[in-house]
Amino acid sequence: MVAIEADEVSKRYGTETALDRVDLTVEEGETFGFLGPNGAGKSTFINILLDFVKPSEGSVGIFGHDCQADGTVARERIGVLPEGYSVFDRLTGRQHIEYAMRSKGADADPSEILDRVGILEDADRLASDYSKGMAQRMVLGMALVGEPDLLLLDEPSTGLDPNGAAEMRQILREENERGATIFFSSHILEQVEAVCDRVGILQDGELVAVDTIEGLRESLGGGTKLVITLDHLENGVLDTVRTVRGVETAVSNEDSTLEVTCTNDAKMDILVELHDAGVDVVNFRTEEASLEDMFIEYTGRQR
Amino acid sequence: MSWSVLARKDVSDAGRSRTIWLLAILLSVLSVGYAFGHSYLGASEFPAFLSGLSDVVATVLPILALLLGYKSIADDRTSGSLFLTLSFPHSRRDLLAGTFVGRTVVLLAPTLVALVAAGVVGAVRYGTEGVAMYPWFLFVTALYAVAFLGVAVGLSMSTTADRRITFAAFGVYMLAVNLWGSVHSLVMLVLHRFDFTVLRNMPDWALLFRLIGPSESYGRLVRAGFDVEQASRYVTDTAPFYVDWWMAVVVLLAWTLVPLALGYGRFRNADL
Repeated sequence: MVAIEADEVSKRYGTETALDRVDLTVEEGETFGFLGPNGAGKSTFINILLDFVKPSEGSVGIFGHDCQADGTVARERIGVLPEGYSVFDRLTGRQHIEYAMRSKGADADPSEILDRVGILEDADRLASDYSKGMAQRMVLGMALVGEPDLLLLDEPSTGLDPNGAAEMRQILREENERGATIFFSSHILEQVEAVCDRVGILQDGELVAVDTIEGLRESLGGGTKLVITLDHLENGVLDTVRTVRGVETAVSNEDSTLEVTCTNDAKMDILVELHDAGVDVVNFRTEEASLEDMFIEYTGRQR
Repeated sequence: MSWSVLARKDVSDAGRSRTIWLLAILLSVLSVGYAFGHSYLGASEFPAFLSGLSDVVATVLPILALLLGYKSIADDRTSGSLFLTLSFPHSRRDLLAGTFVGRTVVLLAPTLVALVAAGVVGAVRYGTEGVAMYPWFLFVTALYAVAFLGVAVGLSMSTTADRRITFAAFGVYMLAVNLWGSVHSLVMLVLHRFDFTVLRNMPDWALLFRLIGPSESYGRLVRAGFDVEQASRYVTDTAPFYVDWWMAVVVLLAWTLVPLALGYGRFRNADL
């Protein structure tokens, strides 16, 4: 079953295009990372899913229910951590969780949920006195109420310290193991890289890539970077390396190191080729292209 | 019953607002105070006391209702707490119903307590003749208060422009509570080339338009219960049937529902 299906969704504000014909399918059980710089349209897309914003064209559905025509039904099976929310000023953390329970008709133990997100000690304080990080934990708790089939999280790590972000990722993993589909947006790459099965990259309202992280690496030339330190750099060494099949770029630094990007298979071939050419290899290491490189590659291309 | 969840949340949230409690205390002080002070202002009879009390209520209660409602939804929308409210399976109509019902509870609970207290003091001081109609007074007062709440919540849904809402709420108060009669009289005078007799002997249609002012309707209803002199122009033999007391109920309901419907019309498809 399909958790999220977007069909040619566009949103325009006057002459500004916030989203441009986004087509996206998220399968049930996936952890999907929605990546893009600030202002790329991630929140607009999520707000359309939640029916906070009406699309100019196209449609989106959650588990087969149209988010606009059938919004309340679509929201029944999801847990949400929206962006730009503020808490209910005069309610405590516990009362927030209780509101979530009543809204979903769910039976749960508020203390258990508050404990899971790590704010049980502050459960009976007014949420308006919470720090941003605590509020974020509380709203995550509200989203977890009723074991939703889909968790929709907009920039979930906002306001969390690295520890908190790690705890958040742990909870997302647990939820995913329980069977929930996870869809979250972020402009921070490590987070997406750490938990996501698939990633979509949004740039200026356009979905420029949707793939697994490995797939993205591959489509970017295997994504392996080989750093080779030589005894000394001779003329012609770079040309030798460039003749190897699978090598994309080869550059040298001052201190006789080579940086070569190539497909995964080509690594050994390069070393063999250097050896055959009589060049002494002092040291070598490989670096996997990080998502960050890919991200820059993708989003940079557009400009 | 999604709206009841929202109403409950609204009561527990708005009901803890300090401003609201200050206003409720103000209303209590004014109405109970009036119950003590009435003997200096009018006849020491219960109906006269009630008539005076209704004038106080007619002026103060709309302020309370407007303050309670005019930013209810607009503020949540600006601050972002509406995102939290509506990310759950509630429709925007549920939000309207929940907010309206919730604020009604928050407004009427202290109001009715204050008025019952004032009524008890009044009955002790001015006799119990006419006390049987006191529940009617409470009922029409509730209708009157809720009408302004309807206007306020309707306004609150129509826009997020703070200043516009504030001006509109102030404008509604001035027109509906203070100026309706004067504006109406002025229009009549202009239409009749300043022949002042028209004010004492209004044409039938003009009578209806006068009644459309909520404070006029409220007064009409209060006096329908007590047969006080001031209702005279609506109860003469020649008065048309459509200014009977039930029309005043229709008017107050319309003041409640029309703004709600208009506000909802703008809110329903708006981007939050």
